[in-house]
Amino acid sequence: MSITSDLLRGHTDTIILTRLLHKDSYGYEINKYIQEKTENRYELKEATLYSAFRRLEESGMISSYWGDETTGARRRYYSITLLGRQVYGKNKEDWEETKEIIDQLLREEEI
Amino acid sequence: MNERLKTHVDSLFAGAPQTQKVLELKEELLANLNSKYDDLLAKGLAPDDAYRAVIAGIGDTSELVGQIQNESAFNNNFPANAKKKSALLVSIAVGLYIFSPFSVMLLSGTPDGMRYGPIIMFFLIAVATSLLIFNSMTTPRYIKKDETIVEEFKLWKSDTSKRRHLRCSVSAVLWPLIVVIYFLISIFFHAWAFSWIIFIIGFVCEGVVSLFFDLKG
Repeated sequence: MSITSDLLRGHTDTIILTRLLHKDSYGYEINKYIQEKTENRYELKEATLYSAFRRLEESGMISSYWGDETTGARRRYYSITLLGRQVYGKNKEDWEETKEIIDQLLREEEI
Repeated sequence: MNERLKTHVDSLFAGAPQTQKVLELKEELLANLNSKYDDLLAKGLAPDDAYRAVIAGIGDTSELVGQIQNESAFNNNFPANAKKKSALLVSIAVGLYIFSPFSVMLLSGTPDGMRYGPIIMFFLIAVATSLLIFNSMTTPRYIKKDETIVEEFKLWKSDTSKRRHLRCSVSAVLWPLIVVIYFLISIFFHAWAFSWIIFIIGFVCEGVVSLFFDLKG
């Protein structure tokens, strides 16, 4: 898993943006979603996740606000901005292209 | 709410300045870690195992702490009102020093002047010196901006000069006091023959005080 982990880590920002496309969310929920969707094969470290949040917020791709929980501790929610949606679209395109190229290059040739 | 998690999160950010941003990040992180912890308990994990799993899941926080330290590098070290307060204390102390000899001059004409004049003078000196000591103890020490050698040096310099300053202030209050005690005892008890021993006692006192500071340092 370590080699794929490195590859995956480069896409942390895009993975987070994808999760925020349709609804606002918070740290643990996003990580749980990643875990469930990959059937426990991948999970972000908290340090990675919150570094990414700060990076994304600083560059204006997401914004944050505190929720008003009636029970328990309050949570910080994140929502995607217009810029974030554009970056998501661009990164998705790039990835599709990269995937094709790598597939082509790694395919075993029949002689 | 898990106290152990809170302690652990606090320790992660112990090196970072406790700004509003850091406090908010800690709150956010802790809320999420607690949810994870509760979920693991619900899945049937023992509290100790759940705690260990949560801690292991945090990963390396050095980048996160680094981000925060960069943001707060440009903050002011000393609040403006602390500077003002320090200036006021020093001014009052200097004023008292200047004013102190007048008590001797003004009272020298009166019958009891020779006795009370010097006492008032040394009292004023003692108050002024106390103000200086109080000031040097309450002024905030230099806070490191980042982890560079230059900042280490500034901190070290600020610490040593502060300690030296404190020691000088102690001596400044000690020796006038010793002189006063010497004269008072000599005059009132006519003990001129052996009252000089007070100076030796004073010397020992100062040695003990500086030893105390060295040990504390």
